[in-house]
Amino acid sequence: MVQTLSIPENFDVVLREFQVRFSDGYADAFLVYYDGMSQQNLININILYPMMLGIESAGSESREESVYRRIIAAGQLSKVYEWDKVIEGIEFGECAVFVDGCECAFVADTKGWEKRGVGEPTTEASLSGPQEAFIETIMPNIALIRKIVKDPNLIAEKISIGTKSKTPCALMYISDIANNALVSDVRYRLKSIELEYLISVSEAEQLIEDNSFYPAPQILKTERPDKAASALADGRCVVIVQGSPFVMVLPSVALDFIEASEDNYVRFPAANFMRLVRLFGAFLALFLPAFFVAVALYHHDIIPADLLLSIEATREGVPFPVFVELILMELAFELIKEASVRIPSPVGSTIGIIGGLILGQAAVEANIVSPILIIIVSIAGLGAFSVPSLALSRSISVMRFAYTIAAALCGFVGIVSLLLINIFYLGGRESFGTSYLAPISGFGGNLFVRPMWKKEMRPEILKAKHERKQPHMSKKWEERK
Amino acid sequence: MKDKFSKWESVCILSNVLLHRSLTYSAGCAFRHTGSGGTLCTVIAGIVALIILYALLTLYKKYGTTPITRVSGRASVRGLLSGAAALFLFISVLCTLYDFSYLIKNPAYPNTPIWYIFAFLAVAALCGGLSKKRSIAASHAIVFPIVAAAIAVLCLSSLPRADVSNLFPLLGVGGGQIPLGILSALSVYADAILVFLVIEDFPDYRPPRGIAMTAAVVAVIFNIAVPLCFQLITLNRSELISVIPIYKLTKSISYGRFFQHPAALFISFWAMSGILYCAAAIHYAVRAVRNLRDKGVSGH
Repeated sequence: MVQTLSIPENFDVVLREFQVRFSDGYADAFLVYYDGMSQQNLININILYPMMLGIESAGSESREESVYRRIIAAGQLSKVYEWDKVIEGIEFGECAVFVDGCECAFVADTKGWEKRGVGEPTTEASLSGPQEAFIETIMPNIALIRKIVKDPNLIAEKISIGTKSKTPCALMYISDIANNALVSDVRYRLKSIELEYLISVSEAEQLIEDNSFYPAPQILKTERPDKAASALADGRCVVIVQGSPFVMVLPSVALDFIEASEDNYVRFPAANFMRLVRLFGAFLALFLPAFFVAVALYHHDIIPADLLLSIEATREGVPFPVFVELILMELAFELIKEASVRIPSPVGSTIGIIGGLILGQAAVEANIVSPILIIIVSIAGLGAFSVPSLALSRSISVMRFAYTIAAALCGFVGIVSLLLINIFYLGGRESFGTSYLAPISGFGGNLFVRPMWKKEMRPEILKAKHERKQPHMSKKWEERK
Repeated sequence: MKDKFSKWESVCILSNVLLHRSLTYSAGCAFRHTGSGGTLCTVIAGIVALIILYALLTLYKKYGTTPITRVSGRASVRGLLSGAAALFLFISVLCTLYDFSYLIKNPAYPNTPIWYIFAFLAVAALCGGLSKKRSIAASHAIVFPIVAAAIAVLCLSSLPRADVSNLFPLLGVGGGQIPLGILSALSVYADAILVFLVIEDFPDYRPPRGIAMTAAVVAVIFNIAVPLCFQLITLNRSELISVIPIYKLTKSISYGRFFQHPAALFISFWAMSGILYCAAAIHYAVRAVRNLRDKGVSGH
């Protein structure tokens, strides 16, 4: 033990030797835990105190049974016979007790590291929905989902990833809804991961997704328990990784990334309108700069002569070609975005001043960029922010450059060629056996939000065990009318 | 079931196959032969095309969803059909790409060499053609409705300037030229051969004839609507012989101050339709070649 846990180099390891009083005499014992990862009070009161105080004999009961059944007062206590599992438990905040004469170690759940409380979602804020978000600890995250789903068939399987870190992950699904093939596939992929340390859910995502090279996200990550619960109810799987406040929803298709949590909490016409606005925003973010370059370089006739002249007049004195000008502005915008993420919040307003005044107004006055370009880049930037998924928003930022280059090379034909190459590529991709572009590519898919009483069926693409979610007539009171 | 297309995907693929050619050629030839009789020719050609396709599909009924390259019991015939189909499709793709590049060069890319535009289109078509079958289905299911909507918007936008008297004289330069006009208008349906290759991927739960006829009706409606709208707004007879009527149609409409001439924008939709067709044609041509190699000659 001393060697395995590098004692005394590891000053946070607590190894306490003591004697256990049994009715037939004393036995040497020691317990081990990490200071800061376990609750010291719990160990003192529920393990050390009763063991040192001892018990009266209970007939022919062995010492092992006595310790397990009558001495250690821990809700979660296990007898572990394998050395690796004991070490794994200690690494995860548990307390291991070794008693002379017992063939096993007693591992008690005494986890008690410092953790953040359940807070509000930061990247998926909702005005009307619940204000809870996942935290970095796996068990409270499971509980957050379980308290919404409240179904005994909700399974949370433990899978450890990482030969050294043994990071606990939870594969969650509702056993009588989720497709067996999907669950098996997710389980197989998670168990097949071979690496020493798994730090975050993003690493796990890259290790199980079908294609890592394409910029578009293929697995939805959410920090909202209600969204994860809704996905489970649809027949999807959810994977939680210890240390990450986001969970993975599998399988995910393209449309999932434009679905905001708010959609489920507002009236459906408003939800559809907001969804259209988001789609329009994504469209602008992706194509507006490319469209501008195509028009400026190839297709002047699309806008009237007087408007063209006024645009050209604003560009008078700008030394760069329109394509270079746009790329410079886009890079400046990305720079502001990156800086604003890392800048400390007390000086956060500085970024607005720098971005708005210095890079905007001053650049125009210095004839480095034209005002129309600032409008274009700003609208495209706003459009990208309207996308609910951060991963998709980043992907759009990358693809925007590609479309701008295509537009500079061959105008609208360049844009269309690249767009179709993208669609061809995505059309053939699958996310855990589900077509990535489904159900966009099928007429009557759930591109739009339906009213609650029309959400009768689970998504067909998930091939759930029970396709029907609610009866055809869920508003029974209407039958009496 | 997983490898089969849905009904929607099948209809979109076939509609685009039967529609794309009319976007580049439209009824240009029919107008050249018959003058103001061009629209009548496209209407008759559309009806004739539907009748022929219906008859062929009825004759083909007993083969179910077997592609035409595999219906024969003789290996040599299967090989011959596969080779002919592949050759036709490859030539058709080359013609489509070249014609499209050639036709849009002057109006939209006057300073760009044809090979350059051709290369862009060809790369996209090759990427699609060599991708998975699912890619072909998904791309058509997403993009074709957009193309169809764009054409519908274009046609509707021209209606405020429509003048029914432009359709007359209905027989144009004379009844004698009408058969010639019909034949030239029929040529836009030449790619119907693809119906008998795509049929392999039709869903099992629907009769192939129903799917193919639905697609054909959609394509015929658009194939008639474009020349009809073009003729309705074209007063000058000499303009009717335009090489690309649909381009002229887009040039003639205006959406107010900002999008005064959306012609360049519509080029995007033609390009989409053309690339989709080429991707599908390349895909099925490659499959026909594979069929020729694997089963056609050896008969296994």
